Amino acid sequence: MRLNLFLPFLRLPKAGRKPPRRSWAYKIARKLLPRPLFSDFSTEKHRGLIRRALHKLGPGWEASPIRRIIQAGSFVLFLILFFYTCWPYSASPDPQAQGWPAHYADDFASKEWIDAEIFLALDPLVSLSTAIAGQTWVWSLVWAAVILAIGLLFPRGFCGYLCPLGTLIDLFDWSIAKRVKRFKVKHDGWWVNLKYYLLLATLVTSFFGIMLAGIVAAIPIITRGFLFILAPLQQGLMQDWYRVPPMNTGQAVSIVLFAAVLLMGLLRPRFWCRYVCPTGAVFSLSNLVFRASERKVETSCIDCDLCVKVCPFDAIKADYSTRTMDCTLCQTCAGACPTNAIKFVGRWEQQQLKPINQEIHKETSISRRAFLFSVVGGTSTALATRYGFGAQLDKTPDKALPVRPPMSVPEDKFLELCISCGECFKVCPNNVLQPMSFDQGLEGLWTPKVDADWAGCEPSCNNCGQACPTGAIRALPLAEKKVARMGLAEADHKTCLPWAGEEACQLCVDECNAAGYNAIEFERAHPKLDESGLPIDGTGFAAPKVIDDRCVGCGLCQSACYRINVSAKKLLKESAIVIYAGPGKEDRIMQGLYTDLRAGEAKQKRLERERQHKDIGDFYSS
Amino acid sequence: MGCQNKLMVGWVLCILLITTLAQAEIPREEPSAVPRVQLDEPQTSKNQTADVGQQRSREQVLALIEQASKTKPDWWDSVPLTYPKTLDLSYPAPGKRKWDPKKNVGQFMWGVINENANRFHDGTKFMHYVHSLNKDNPDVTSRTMRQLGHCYHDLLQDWARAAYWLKKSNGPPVKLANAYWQLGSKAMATEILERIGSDYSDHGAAIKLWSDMGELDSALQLAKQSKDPRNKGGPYRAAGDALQRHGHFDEALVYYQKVLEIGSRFLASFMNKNETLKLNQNHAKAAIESIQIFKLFDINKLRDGSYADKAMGYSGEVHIQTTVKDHRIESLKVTQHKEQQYYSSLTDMPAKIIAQQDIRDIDATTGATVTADAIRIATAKALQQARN
Repeated sequence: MRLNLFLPFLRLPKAGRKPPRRSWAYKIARKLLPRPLFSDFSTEKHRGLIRRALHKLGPGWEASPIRRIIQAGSFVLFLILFFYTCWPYSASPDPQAQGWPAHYADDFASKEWIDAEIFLALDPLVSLSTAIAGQTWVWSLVWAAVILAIGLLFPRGFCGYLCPLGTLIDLFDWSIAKRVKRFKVKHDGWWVNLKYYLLLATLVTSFFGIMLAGIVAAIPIITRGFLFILAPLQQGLMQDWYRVPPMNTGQAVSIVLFAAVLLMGLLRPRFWCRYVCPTGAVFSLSNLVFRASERKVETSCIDCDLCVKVCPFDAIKADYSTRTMDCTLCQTCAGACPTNAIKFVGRWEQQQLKPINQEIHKETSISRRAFLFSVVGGTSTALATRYGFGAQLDKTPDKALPVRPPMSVPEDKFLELCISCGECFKVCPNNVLQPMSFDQGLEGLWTPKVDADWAGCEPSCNNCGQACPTGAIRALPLAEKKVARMGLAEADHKTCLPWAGEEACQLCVDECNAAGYNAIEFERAHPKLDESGLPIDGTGFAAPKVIDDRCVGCGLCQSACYRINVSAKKLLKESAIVIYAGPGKEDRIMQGLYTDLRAGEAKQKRLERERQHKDIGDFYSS
Repeated sequence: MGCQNKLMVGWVLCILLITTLAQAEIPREEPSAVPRVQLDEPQTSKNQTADVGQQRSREQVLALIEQASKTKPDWWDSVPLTYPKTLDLSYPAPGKRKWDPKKNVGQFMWGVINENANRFHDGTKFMHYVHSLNKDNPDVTSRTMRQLGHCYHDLLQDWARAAYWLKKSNGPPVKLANAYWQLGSKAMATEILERIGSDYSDHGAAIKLWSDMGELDSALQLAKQSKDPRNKGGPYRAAGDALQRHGHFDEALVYYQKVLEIGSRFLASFMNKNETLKLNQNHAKAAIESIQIFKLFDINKLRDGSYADKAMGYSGEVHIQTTVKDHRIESLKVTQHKEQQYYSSLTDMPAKIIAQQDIRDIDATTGATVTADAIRIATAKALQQARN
């Protein structure tokens, strides 16, 4: 078996050596393509155009162009998914459309020719730890299985080929970090195995039902970094800056962490990937279980040390043998090797191997102390979060509970399943969903909540559920979202303008009717009474009254009140109609349909009415 | 001349360009930033037992009323009996009680049902229920019957049932007269109206009904007789409306002027608190403005195009949009409104304007003159833009 992707035919043969064996693909290409593209082997000095172009791009490109192409493609795909697919504002309502609007949902579905959350789903740490924390089946485990199956051939291939964070770090290292020498570290330290400790601690906290993997896993880190830095730029430049919500402490912390991940490149190239990334550690460990391919060094090695220097993952020991748990099969070493001594072949295949000399370099092994420390650290973090710096759901008053996105699972499960990746914020039109800060401690950090002062949930949109990689927000059709209650609006009779007798106002009612919920009706508030106690026509104000069993808590009413009465007219300090979450006000279910809930209620009502009809009899009389 | 023509062509092109641009703008606007305008489906009651305009004899009308009172309305079975369980169904007489529409039936009807067009049927059925519960208590039924009269007349415009309950409850005679007239008997309506010597109502209901029935002289006579003791301007306003609707613009202006003068002749500070006077004066102002437009109206001088404008209705602005082509009013639509009652004029009035190709001499849908006038005035203002 050969897994050579470093294109040996591009190489210039050394004098006196046999030219490399030509593959049939090379022979066809040579016949079809113009000659100057290829190196001239007869003169031994003349490099072809391809080779020269790759040389210009950099040693990584020259040594292993296929890997670079896949990496770039993967990164571009990530950018397209993030900036194009998850950009909700390309939707516009169809004036001809009949019935309930669906433009946001339809627009997202039409652009999602590949799952928008595919990279998050591919991150095995995300799905593993959500499955452990939530003790449920998480659909993205399928993707984790797929990527680990590919790992049979490329055990840490994800890091070298697909991971967009890895590519971004490569770009950072290439553009900035390689120019800054003063922070470089020479010798290995305890941190060489940091990723395993971090993985262990993460899984231990997950085991206690505390979900912290989202803070350290690779793909959530880059998604969030893009979300908090680039998404506001995108919205500000493509729309207007006033549409960008202000930043909270939690977001600032996330940006600092993201910057730290990049700046680790100043210590060593891809420092994060090599030593810290717990997602990478999952791949490294999978190496122990299954591995079909391996990097092997033949006796033709001339001890030139070039491979050790070019290896971006620090996976080559001083004796030129492989640290298999770190090798991503990026094949840069093979491409760089002057004697073509490095082969990527079946693990079982014997070559004329260079003898291994372990004495040259001592490996830093996983220390028992650090192992224990991470178990204890994970446990204590979990306990501290549960009993101190966490959501404390049982102690939270109902009105302080955050309003979650529509069709979210029950709050305790939500905190276990949500990895705070931020994908839902990106697809949410008008930034209804905004990241929480430390309101719920570490547990709720960067989880989505509905900020109805900012905007209301669009009736034609169910994007957040569609984009959620873990099922914390359920991916159900728009018909379900339409009736799923995320909260209940409540008008404050002390501040609401008509209720307080200040002036006529029906912003919330108009907004609700326009959205098609018709959940707020009028009641005449405080009319003047004449001497006989009868109300005088034209006195008092028509004030809003929420119909409990029609309100889904979308918050359009609240945002209308805030936009006009608070921001524009400065009549109020805060919106007079506010949506609240809490038991009885929202539908938070793990399975089952919301339409079934509503059908059940309708049936109950019908039965009651029939009973009433029977009891009362016919009362139409004249 | 040639220069002027060129200028005119330039203007037309400009306006065309602007209108096309304005139309092209619409889909690009952000859906959430634009207040979503939605026109409620006008609830023209299909339940009316008689077609308006059909003439009937006294016997026929009485038979219609008798028949309607014995049969359930067609919506009856599809509307559930729903009401807050906190209501005191014994419906005691109103007195010095705290305002609480959750408890007091009358206040519930006034404060909740009247305010929500989609609850008119609910409320009527509920009132029937309260009526049936208290049918042995004449004190309560006097109130329930009045309420039923109000429901069928004001809310549902079911004239036969309205007449039945108004008569039985000895309710407001002008409403009963209106119901009779709507059912096709001008004679029965006249009989009642002739007994009314003066009109004290807020908006001059009796004067208006005379005018609606085409009896301008009787309307004006009643207006002269009405002393308007509380100085709300109702009779003058109604008289002005009557004259205006019959095309006597100059006389109408005199009456509208009288409405505006009321405040200046009395203590202004006291008058400012009178909401009804304020409404009537606003109406008079708008009417004076519209008369000036009506006078200039000439269908042959209208430019092709689409025009929109607004005017004040019962409970807010009524927006209309109209298109003119080849000196014809091609279409007229109400695009936005907040009216809660008398929906029928929202469709009737535009139909009438299109049929007559005029905005001046149009009988408004009875009971909804405020809405109808708003549509007429808004149309007049819009067409003003279309004048050459």
